[in-house]
Amino acid sequence: MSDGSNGHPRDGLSEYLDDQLGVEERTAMDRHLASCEDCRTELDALRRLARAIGDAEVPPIPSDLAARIGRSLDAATIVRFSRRRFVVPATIAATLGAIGILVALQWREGHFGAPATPEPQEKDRAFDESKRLNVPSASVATDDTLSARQTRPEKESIGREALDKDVKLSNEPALEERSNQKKDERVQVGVEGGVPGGVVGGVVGGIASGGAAEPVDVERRDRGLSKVMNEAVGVAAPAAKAEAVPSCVDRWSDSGVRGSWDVSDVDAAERQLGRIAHAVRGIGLWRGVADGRPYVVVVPRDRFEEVFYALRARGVTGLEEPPTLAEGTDCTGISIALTVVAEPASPTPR
Amino acid sequence: MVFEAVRGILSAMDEEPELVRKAIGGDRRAFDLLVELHLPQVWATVWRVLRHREDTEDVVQEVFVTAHRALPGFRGDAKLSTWLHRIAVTRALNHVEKAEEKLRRASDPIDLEAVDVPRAIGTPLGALESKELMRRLADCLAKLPVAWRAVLALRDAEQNTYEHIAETLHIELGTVRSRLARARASLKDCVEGRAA
Repeated sequence: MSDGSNGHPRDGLSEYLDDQLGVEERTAMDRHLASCEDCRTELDALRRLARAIGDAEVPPIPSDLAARIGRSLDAATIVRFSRRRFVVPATIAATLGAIGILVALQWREGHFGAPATPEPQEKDRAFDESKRLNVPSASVATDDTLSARQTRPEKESIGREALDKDVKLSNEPALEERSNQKKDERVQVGVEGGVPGGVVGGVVGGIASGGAAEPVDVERRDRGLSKVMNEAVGVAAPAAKAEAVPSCVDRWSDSGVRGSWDVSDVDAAERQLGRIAHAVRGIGLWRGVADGRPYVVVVPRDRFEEVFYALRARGVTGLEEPPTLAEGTDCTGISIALTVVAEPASPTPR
Repeated sequence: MVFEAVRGILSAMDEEPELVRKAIGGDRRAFDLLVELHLPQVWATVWRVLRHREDTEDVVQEVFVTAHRALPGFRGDAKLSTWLHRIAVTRALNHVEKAEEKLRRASDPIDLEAVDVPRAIGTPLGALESKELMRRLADCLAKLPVAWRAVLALRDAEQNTYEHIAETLHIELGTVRSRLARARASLKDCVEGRAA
């Protein structure tokens, strides 16, 4: 209990109110209150205030909120599924690549047809040879070499980390509130930046992921048929970029771009936005359905124009020319207000 | 009608452990029922911390999406309502911390001086009519720092123990005490129209 001004134990009143004082402190407070009208008034006021906070009105729950939660769950499931879809084949491809390298090394060493598990000396020799060639040895794909990771080339450790991330992804997480967004980030890196860029990425990843990202085709872009658009509409595997791109989950700035989209099927529209965002490793923020409040598609700055034209090509109006983005974070958001119309929006017949 | 709804909720509460088990197993319908069951509590908690309708809608959605994702990690040591409550408070506080929120609220700084009450008069709280008290309270709560609003919500609105508040907000017990005292004193000054 701390004394306030003029000897009035004002801070202690709060604890007294909640019956949090010890016996001695409570007795002292009782004694003080008996002789201090100011403190009694203060205590009454605090008590009334606390009661009022308890009685304060909570606005009614929007009638469609439960349905919106359901749709958010659907969207989250779709995104997670689509992320996993690329992890598993890429992981398998990486493993097959490592096995291929093993076979090649065994062949080079003249061990083809020898026992499957090399003797220790042979293992060392294979490892020495792999170091000389700057390629991973046969044991790369096994867990017993994890401890030796630091001695391997950097690419290898990146590939191993990516595989580790895949494993984490397949295990459902325990609740760790503040790490959830990080988990999303791990997923993104594991799927789109990790495996293809890892140890076998140079050998296999390019094949598995369809090669490196292509620059925007200006002619196609102007027709609104950007690569992003094709990916989004054609459900093609997203192109992988070798360099690490920061996640958009944690921080992004508003681009100031505001679009409107007349749609007949909100679920389909959500999926389109989700695909577009996912194709550039951005995120879609689901902020309500067709009630005038916007969805926000958050994308990396360097893919902004692609997404801008992709949205325009889908019929999002209000997008004239992409603005010059202000300096800021690596990711930026485009707001799109959905309006449900009875029929798909189409040009008025003359 | 109301009786039916109450009976339905009570029935669902009885079945909650089974619903949780099914939801962990991937039964989406079971999770939807859990959402219906706990939506009012989560809504109220998030509203009391944020006091912003659209933000509350967004965060409540986030809470259930997070819960759905994390449900396999729910071990049943605590009640589901306690578990959800913790997610709700954390998410609400995180929401305020987000950069976009900081930007938006930067143009609307917390300024107790700006509260719309007759400042020159300084009416004692005890003399305020109930309706006027509630109006001023709503204004002043919205202007309080979110950390203070959170402790007030958890204690005065939800009657949680100091220990539970400390655990939920990841702060020391002493911090709960001091924060509550300061929040109550500031709120009282604000409601009475005096400088905080």
